[in-house]
Amino acid sequence: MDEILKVSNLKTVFYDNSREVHAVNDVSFSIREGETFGLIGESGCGKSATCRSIIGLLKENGKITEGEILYKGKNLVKMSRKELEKIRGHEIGMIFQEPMTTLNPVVKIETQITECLPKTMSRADKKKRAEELLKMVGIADAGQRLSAYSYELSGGMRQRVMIAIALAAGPRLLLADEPTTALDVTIQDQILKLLMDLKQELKMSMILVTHDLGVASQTCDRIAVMYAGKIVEMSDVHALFLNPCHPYTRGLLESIPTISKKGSRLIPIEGMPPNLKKLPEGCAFAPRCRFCRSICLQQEPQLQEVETGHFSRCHFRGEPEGEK
Amino acid sequence: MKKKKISISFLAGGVVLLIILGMAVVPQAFTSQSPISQDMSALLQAPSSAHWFGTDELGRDIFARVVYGTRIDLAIGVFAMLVSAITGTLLGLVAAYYGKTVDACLMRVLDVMTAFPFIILVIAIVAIMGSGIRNMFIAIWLVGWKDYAKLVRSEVLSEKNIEYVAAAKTLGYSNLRIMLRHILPNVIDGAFVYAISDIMMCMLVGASLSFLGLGVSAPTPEWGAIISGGRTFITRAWWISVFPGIVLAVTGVAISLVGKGTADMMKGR
Amino acid sequence: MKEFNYIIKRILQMIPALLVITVIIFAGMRLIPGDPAITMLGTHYSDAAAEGLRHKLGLDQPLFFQYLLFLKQVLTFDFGNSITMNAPVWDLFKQKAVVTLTLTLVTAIFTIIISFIFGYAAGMSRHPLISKTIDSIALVMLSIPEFWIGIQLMLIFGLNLKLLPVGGWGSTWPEHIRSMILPAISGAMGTSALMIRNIEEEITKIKKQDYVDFAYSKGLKKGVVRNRYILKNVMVSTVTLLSMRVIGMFAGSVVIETVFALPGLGSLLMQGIMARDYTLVQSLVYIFAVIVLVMNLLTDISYSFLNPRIRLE
Repeated sequence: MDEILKVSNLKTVFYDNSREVHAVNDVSFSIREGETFGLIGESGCGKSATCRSIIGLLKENGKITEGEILYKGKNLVKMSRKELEKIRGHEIGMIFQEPMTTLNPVVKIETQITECLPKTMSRADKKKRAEELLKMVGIADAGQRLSAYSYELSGGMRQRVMIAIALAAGPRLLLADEPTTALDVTIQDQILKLLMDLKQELKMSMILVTHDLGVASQTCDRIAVMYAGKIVEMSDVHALFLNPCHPYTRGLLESIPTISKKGSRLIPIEGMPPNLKKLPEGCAFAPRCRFCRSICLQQEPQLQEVETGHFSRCHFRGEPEGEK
Repeated sequence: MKKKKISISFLAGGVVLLIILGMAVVPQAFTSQSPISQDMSALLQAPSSAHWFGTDELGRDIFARVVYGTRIDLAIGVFAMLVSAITGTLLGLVAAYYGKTVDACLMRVLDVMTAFPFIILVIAIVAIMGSGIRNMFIAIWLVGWKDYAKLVRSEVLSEKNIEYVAAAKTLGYSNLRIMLRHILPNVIDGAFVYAISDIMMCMLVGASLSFLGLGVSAPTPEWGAIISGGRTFITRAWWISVFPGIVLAVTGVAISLVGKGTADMMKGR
Repeated sequence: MKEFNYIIKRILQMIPALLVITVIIFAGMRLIPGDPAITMLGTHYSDAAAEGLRHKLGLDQPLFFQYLLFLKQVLTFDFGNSITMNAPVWDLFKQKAVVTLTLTLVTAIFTIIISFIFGYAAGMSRHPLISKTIDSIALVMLSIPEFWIGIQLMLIFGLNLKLLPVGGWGSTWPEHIRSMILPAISGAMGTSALMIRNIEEEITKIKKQDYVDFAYSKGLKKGVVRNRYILKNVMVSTVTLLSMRVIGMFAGSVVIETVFALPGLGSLLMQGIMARDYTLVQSLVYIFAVIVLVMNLLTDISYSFLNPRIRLE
């Protein structure tokens, strides 16, 4: 399989009152054609910033300072706005977290879909295509919904519409930034299933950003766990769940309730994520780590391959012996 | 919260405002000329070292008239604002606190009042009661309170159900005490910020009324009236109307800057 | 159908408000100290003339009856004759309304042009210098009295440069329009300043919305996003302020009309006040109130068309 996207040494900085916030700090990963790649971590760990860096939509105070993002061999970081406009939507699409605020409140759904379609299409064709797209995302009375405004739709509906819009121009890579977080649990599953079905059907690749390990385990082929702007562990989904190497990943796994673990206690990760304006010396996770040793506070660990295709950013491969 | 630096614009506005306040309190310190004494040997003279802003058709020194006018214009702004602010705040507070019929009554009154545009209503009231500075005050007051009432009412409605009010009620405090000591301090910020810019609005309305001949009467120096008086001689003596307008605008800007600075500082609290 | 019901409901709601307004106006007019008939006649009058005028005005009737008379005038839009101008009030109104309407329209157009250009520039610019400059200009514009800027414009463009008429209304439409330019600029200043700030604030808020980012992520051109996403949403959120101010302009044209000697409703009202023509003043104030109520209703209706989120209920 070919790589569709290759991110190397990406650094993204936000400026907050002239102070630098390192939201994405030396992140590298690659995605193969047809793969679903999960980016997981707590809020503020840089997963959304990574996504937005890829599609070139950082907030005004954000900037990519280093690294490259190769999409089919072309560096997106170096592209002009005009070139990016051709990539966005047509090659890389994105869906957002909040269905309530992601649709334009004063423009009809139809326009929001048809404006993504090629200019060469006739009006009638565009309308037909828009209806098809709505049907594709499972909206029953698609014809009627075209003339609706977003406020007339429920949250789940809006998320479906958003997906239809993002897919309208036929992107090959879909960035899904917490696509189900804002939805009810029952609707979450529907949307997730829809996304996976569409991905299969349209043979897309996908980056799924989520803080929900359950969601990631069901859908992703490979997963990268991010902490404080860095990837701390990356592997295929089975190895990650069977043999988590980084203490942070373990902490995450232990803090999710599962039916099989019913009765056993959930162990929360103590403490708060570090302040990205002044990262601690050494390992960023050290202050919260159960296994923290003196070396962790002095020296920053590198991402090392613990087994084939399984990387971990910890001084201790696998199990560090004994608790502190 | 970190201590915020006082901005330069706030400081500049403050300094200008202090000078203007000084002009209002001790006009004698700024000019040795009299604002009303006529000098038939110096009619309609252009600005010079003797008469900085020139003289009018009766030989009166415009600079002196502008300086002495400060007191009246500022007083119109401040007092018209104060009476409106106090009335409106109290009415809004009471209406929102008691709700139901009281609130409904206030809302109906506000509905009717919005049907009259501000300036028409003020003019109509002055027309009914006769022109003059006192009636002008009353007119601005009768019309001006409604914005404060609206503002405070909506603030109180969102505050009323907050726990501290319930807590105060269970402690057996009287309604009056809860309103004045507990709710009012929490809702006053918005009204305060509005009040500062309202000083400027009241000054402009006052000047407009005097300009129309409905406010301050002839010999008293007032900026709007001076501008109005200069209109007749506009081709021969531009200075009569130009300077009071500039001073009025500068005062307005200074008040806005101070108001904006204060609002920023209150936000930073 | 829903819209129709809403409009009917709103019109019905206007009735009590209008009734209260008639009471206020009527009471206000009776509160004026002195006998209106004598005030109108001035110092030289005969008892017979005063009696005649009192009878003509209905002042010899009981108070309640007088109110009913006023109510009847109001309901039929037959306000009787203006005493000082010797013409039906309604005819005077129609004749002067053209001037004020034209003035309001031209002022509104200037306001929209000025405020959208500068507000948009200030909101979209990434340079703090641009937005700060525009903010400062708006601040100054807000503090300048409109009658003063009117006089200065008149002096510069009318008297010195002789580019535009100094005042008056002219006799042909091209003249009418030319004579509106200076008054409209003077009148547009304050409102534009307010709107510039409002638009700037709205744009900075809307720029950060998810739907703008989503629009870009769809690969839309910058221009499309700006027009269809940012500008359209800004317009929805500023239309209410704009229309409220336009209503204010229409009714508050007294000052500008006085400065430029325009024969409009504001001038008519001032003449009425100065001449103590009570019939004229009370009728005009009532007509103004009706117009404002109707325009408020129109604003709400048009707003619901612009903003689909607002449902007419």
